[in-house]
Formats: sequence, C-alpha cells, structure tokens
Amino acid sequence: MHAQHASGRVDTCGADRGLWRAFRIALLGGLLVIAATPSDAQAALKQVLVLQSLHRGNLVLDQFVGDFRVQLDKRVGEPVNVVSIVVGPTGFVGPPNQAVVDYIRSIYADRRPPDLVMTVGGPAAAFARQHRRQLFPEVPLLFASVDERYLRGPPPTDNETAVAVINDFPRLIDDILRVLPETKQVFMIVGSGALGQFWRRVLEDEFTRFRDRLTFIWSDDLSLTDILGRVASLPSNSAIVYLTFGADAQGGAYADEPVLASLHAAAKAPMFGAFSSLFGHGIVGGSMMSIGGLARNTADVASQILDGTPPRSLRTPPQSPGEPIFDWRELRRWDIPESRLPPGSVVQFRGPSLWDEYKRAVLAAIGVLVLQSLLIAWLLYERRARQRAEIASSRNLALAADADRRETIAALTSSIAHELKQPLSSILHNAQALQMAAERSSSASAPTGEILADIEAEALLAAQIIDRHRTWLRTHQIQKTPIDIHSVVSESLALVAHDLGIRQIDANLNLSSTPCTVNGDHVLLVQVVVNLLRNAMDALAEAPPATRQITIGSKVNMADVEVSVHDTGTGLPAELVGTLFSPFVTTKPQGLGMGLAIAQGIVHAHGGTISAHNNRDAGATFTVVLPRRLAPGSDPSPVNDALAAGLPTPSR
Amino acid sequence: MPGRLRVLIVDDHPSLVRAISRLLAFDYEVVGSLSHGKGLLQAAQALQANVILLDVNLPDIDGLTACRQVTQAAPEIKVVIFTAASDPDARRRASEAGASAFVDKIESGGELLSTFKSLDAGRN
Repeated sequence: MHAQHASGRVDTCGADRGLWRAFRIALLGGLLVIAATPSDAQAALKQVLVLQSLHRGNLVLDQFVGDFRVQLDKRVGEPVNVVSIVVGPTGFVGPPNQAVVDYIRSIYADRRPPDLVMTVGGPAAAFARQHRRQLFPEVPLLFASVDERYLRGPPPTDNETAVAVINDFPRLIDDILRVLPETKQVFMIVGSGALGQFWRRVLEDEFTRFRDRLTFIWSDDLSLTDILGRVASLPSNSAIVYLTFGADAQGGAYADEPVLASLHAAAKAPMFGAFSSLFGHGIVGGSMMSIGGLARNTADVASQILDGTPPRSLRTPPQSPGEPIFDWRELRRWDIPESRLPPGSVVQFRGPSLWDEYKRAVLAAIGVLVLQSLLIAWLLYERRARQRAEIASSRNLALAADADRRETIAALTSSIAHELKQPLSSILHNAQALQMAAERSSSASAPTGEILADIEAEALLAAQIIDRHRTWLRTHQIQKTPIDIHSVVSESLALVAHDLGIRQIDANLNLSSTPCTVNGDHVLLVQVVVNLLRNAMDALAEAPPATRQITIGSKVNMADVEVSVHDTGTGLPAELVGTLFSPFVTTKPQGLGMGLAIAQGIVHAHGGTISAHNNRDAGATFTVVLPRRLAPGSDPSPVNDALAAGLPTPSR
Repeated sequence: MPGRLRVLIVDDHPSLVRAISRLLAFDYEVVGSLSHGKGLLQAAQALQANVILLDVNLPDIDGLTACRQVTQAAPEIKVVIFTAASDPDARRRASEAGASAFVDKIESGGELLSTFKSLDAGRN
C-alpha cells in the first residue's frame, strides 16, 4: 500500500551518493540489529525480520509498525524478537544494494534464520522480491502494508503471502467533488523524486475520468517552500490531496507531521487524505484506509505463520478503504455542510455543543429554577393555606365576637332598658299632656305642634337605640370602612353609660383634636372599646366611689392611631401578666374571660396591637394601636402631628 | 288656702323635663328644673318648691343621696323619686332616703298625676 519510495534519492543525487547513503542506512540498521540481537537466552523466541521501506517520520508506516508489534505480541502470547532494517532507499527502481543484503545475511550468519521475514511498504516489498533468493528463501515471507500495485508481476510462491491494500484514490476525488462540488483544481502532494514520479504517473492514469472537470497540479517537482507558497495562493475552488511526502524536489527529507502542520497553516483550500493515520492532522476527511485494521489483519497472518501455518493457506483479499470519515473542525473551517457528506460518513472531533459545553451550568440553572419553582409553589401553597386559615380564623373570630356581643348586651340589659325609658317616658307624658288638654278643653302649656315634634323626636331616638342594640345582636362579618375612632368611642360610652352611672364611675375623654380615621369595622371596634370599658368598670368595683374614674384617650401618630382606656382601679394582677389576652383568663366570679381575648382577635384582624400595663399611681391602662388611614392624596404632615401633639403649627 | 303645688323637676333629659312640665302645668306650678343634683336644696328653697320630682341617675350625684339631703334639711319639701329603675329594691331605697313617693318613668294609668294629687291633698 505504501506510496513512498526512497530510492528516488539515488536517482536525484547520483549513484555514489546513493551508495554512501545506503551504507549509512545499513549501518544504522545494523545498530538497530545489534540493539535487538537475540542473546542465547532468547534463542527459543520467535524471530521476525522486518524490512522497512522508510525511516521513522512517515505517519502511516509508523502507526502500522507500532500497532502491528502490539497486536502480534497479543496473538503470539509471548515476546517476539523483531529485527528491523530499513531497506527502502535501495529498493524501488534502483539496483538492489547488495551491501544491504550482505549485511542482513551477516546478522544471521552465526545463528538460526528468522522465523518470518516481513516487508513493510512497497519499496521494501520490491527489495525483498528482488533478493528473495539471498534473503532466507526457505523462510516464510509476508508482504505487509503494501499497495497491490507493487505486487503485480509473478504470483507469490507457496512460502509467500501478502496483506495488501487497494488504495482507491479516484474514490477520494469523488468524495472531494461530493462535498465541494465547485472544485475545479486539485493540488496533489505526492513527495518528490522517483516516489513522486511513480505516484504521479499512476494517478494521472487513474484520474483520467476527471479530465473534463478537474485540473491536477503536482508537487513532485516543487520544494516544500514552493509547495507552501502554492497552497497559500490557491483559488477558492481548489482542494489539496495529501498522499505522502518524505522528501521534496530539493532532496530535503521531512516527516509528515510538521509538513502537514505547515500545509494546514498556509493552505487556502481544504486538504484531503486517504489514510486514517493522517486524520486529525488537518485533513478534512474522505474514504480512509484504516491503518489500525490493517495492522490487526497483518498480525493475524504473521502470528499464524509463526505458529506453523503455511503461507499459501493464508491468502487474504486486499483491504479497501473504509467508510468516509470527516473532521468536524475542518468541515467548520471550510464551511462544508454535513448534508453534503457521503452516506454513512462518520464525523469525528465534533466540538462540544452549547449543551455539552454548558451542560453543568444549564443543569445547575435548571436545578435552581426547579428548586425555585418548587419553593414558589410551596410558598403559594402556604400562602393559600394561610389565607384559608385566616378566613377560617376570621369566621371563628366573627362567631366568637357575635357571642361576646350577645353576652355584653345581656349584661347591659338594665342599661338598655334605662336608655329606652327616657324617650318612651317623654312620649308617654307628652301624650298624657295632650290628652289632658283635650279632656279639659283647654290649651296645654306648649303649642300642640311643639309637643308632637317632641314625641316624634323621642320616638326616633328610641328607634335608634333599638337599632343600635339590634345591630349588636346581629351575626356580623368583618366589613372594613373608613371610620373615625372617636365615633367608636362615643357609641361605646353610650352603650355603657347607664352602667357607669349606676356604678358611680366618672368617664372622662381626652381625645385628639385630629380625626383618628382608621380602616375598620365599626361594630367590632365598638365591641373592643366596650369590652375595655367593662373591664375597667369591673376593676373599679372595689375602689371608693370618689376615685372611680375611667379616661378614654386617643392619639394620632404618623402611621397609627392609639386609643387608650385608663382606669383608677386595682390594676392588673401579677399572675395574669402574659396571659391577659388569652381565652378563659379572668379573675371575675362570673364571665368566661373571653372579652379581652376577643378584643385582641378583633384588633389583630385590623392589623393592630393591643397591650396593657399598670399605671404608676393606680389602676391600669389598655392601649389599642390601629393602622392610621390616610385620606387619599394626603400624607402624615407635620401640621397634623403638631396639632395632635398640641404644638404650635408652622405658619403657611 | 295654700296655693298650687310648686314643683321643681330634676332630670338630665331635657325632652323628658319638657314633657313632665307640660303635664303638671295643668294643675301645678312648675317653678323650675335642674339637670344635676348639686345645689338642689338651695334651689328648692329659693324657688319655694313644695315638691321635687327627682331622677335617681344624675350626672353629678346619686339622686337618693340628694333626696336624703333635702328631706333631712327641709322635711317640708316632699321628694318624689322619678326613675327608670322600677325594681322593689329601688322603691325601698327611695323610701329609706326619705322620699314621699316613687314613680316609674314608664308609669301606667296616670300614676304621676295621682301621686301629685295625693301630695296636694295631703298638704291640705
């Protein structure tokens, strides 16, 4: 299979120079042989003589030999002693270098011949065929890694076999035209000297069918510098094919790897190759000969020969190029869409997609989002649950407040009766006055119209009293509207006025001059103040009548409104501190102890607070703080605060 | 023959005071009214009132206390307790305070007038 032929150097540099070079190579080979010469202890080991076409530096043969050694060791199961000699420079078209042959023979002069002779590449195959009689004709000969073109001629003997390949370079050109249909010219890099001339001759013949479509430019007569200059100035509809290099027209020897790197850097056109060993070195791709597979197949055959199998029974068909392989990086570089690749193409070196590159970050972000979503869902669920609980709590509070109001009304029955009796008595006696005037046919002390007006007014007053108490007895849900807390205080006092009188309690007001508007439920807030008043009245039961005082105060702050009920009673019992507003906490023989608990519930439902403390002198003070409701467009101005605090206001 | 009864009305409900005044004015002389209990004795004496119609629940002083002060200082002045509290204890407490009569504010059958008629007759 191998395309390189080192004997071109002989042609270009002259016979003397070629001989000298052959000697140097043979000497180097000898050194290699000396290094690998089997010792007596290794006499039992299998011996393989490898005739190489080229020195190291050829990517294809280097990989083949490396892989073959590994595979052979695996198959034989024990170390195999391999002696390698580079014979290429004298092996292709020039006369065989007898010195090399003699040298090889001298190596085995005092020891048994090798168990297998294997050639690597075309030049070595030609060398071995030419000197077969001198090079251990009784030993099996295996032609490896050789293009079948080199084996044309006499068929192999019974003691010879080959693991050859059929390089299909026209197929590579087809691949190029498939992925780059606009291609008009192909720059062929085939090495120089006899090697380059050989391949140019062979391929020009094989490329005949492309004559009308493509122009082929050959590099065999160019130096590496010229080649690099040409590839750097190729027109856009060009392609480059890299077969092999080895040496340029000036006789400079080069390893594939740096040549490929230089070409890749300079080229203005995509570069194609036909051997898998070149893949990854700037080659776009194409139908590739698998060198790894070739090494495995060769090791199979070699190991069987070493095991005693006659070579004639080990004929294997030449290996063809495998499925097309393309380098994703080169496809991107040359903007070749993957849709143009031949069916079954394999794309390698595919760069990480955004997903691959940011998979961790994306997964982490998704994880965070999922967690966040779950957290939000949980919070929404909690909020919903809390709302439901609040609604239930509000209902329960309303029910408890209803019950508490009924209990309050029951306790204030005498007050209600007393309050109602005033207008009713007035109506009654006005009516009697009118009746008497009628009976005596005389006029009353006042005009009839005035008396009737009084009757009507008193009837309305009675109705209002009834309505007020009926409202209290009605089942009530919280309904917040803007209300002045002072009206709450007035109504609360009216409800307990009679009780205050009976208990000989003085009620005083110390209200803010500023309206105390809150957003609240009038009935429930009256209930709060009434409960506090009743609590204060109870606390004054044991106090001397002269000292029984309740003061209702109000204060407007920046953001809230305070209402306080101050009494001069016995103060808060120490044992109730901390549980004052808990249900069923009471010091009274009668009552459930729900009044303050319900008051607190109502205040909390209004977003307010309720607290209590003992006064310095006597009694206790309960304070309710409710969020202040500001009139639309207004803000808590310093003027209002100054008024509330009794300070002089700034002039406008 | 003594003149018409001179009545002083003490109650903190103005509309009720007006109604009582209109009713009593047919047969008696309503000499004045007070909305509080403070200075009651002095006012009654100054107005030469024979009868004081006295509410129990006054804003400044307990009506029964005021009754006691008047009846002790001026036994010739009769006090009629006029109250919305009609329980038996209230009548007893009024009697103990020296009141000559007890009339429920929501009296029936002209109790107020008959009470005054009795007082007027007793004076003769």
